[in-house]
Amino acid sequence: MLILTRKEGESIIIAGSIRITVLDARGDQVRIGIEAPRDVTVHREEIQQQILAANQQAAGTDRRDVDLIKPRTPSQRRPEHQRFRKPL
Amino acid sequence: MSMIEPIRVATTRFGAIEVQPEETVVFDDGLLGFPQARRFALISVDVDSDLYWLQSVDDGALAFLTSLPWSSFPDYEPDIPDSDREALSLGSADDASVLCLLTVDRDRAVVTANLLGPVVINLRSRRARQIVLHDQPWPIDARLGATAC
Repeated sequence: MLILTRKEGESIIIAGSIRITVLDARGDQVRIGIEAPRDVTVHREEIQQQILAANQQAAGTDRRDVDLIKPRTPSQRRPEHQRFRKPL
Repeated sequence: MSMIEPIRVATTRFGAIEVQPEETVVFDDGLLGFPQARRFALISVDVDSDLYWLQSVDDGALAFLTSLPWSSFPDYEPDIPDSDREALSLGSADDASVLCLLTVDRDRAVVTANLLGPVVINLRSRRARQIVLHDQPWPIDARLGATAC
């Protein structure tokens, strides 16, 4: 691991286009600003790990598990501003 | 007229299936934990059902049970970050579909939906992406049936 020491307001540039700035450091918390191209996804590690674990658990679903889901009337009610469609 | 060959997949859940290429959705970045599986077929669980299997075309053993979220969670309003809209070239919500991955705990007979990391599909381009809703209040394990519908 590359280890760099930075002061408040100082930055690190990664791959020429990602800038990470230490905004402030107080006690045991550091606030970090990230400027990155729009196609670069930035996740908090613990949230990424949670979703990864949830995906792995979800991948174990079996056909008969569908029986545990009570049939519902497909909802026509969707928030007005969310006009998402059925995929099929 | 050119004939487009269906893709044949030997799946563990559905046996041998044939998928038309235009029925697939492509995750350019895969899903978290499954980066190699890019192409998926959407399989309706039943007519008029809000449930769909997302079956990997590249790995017959990999499938996720997903649901349109609103019949169970009518107040769900995911705010899709601009970076994800851009990555999916999503112009309008009219072009999008949102599915949540379901997790089943057989022993406890509990089914939960991941509302924090939904799958968003651009139905025009058939490109899809699992997005992470930072700083939004949606749980990763919202229980189906716990709310009135």
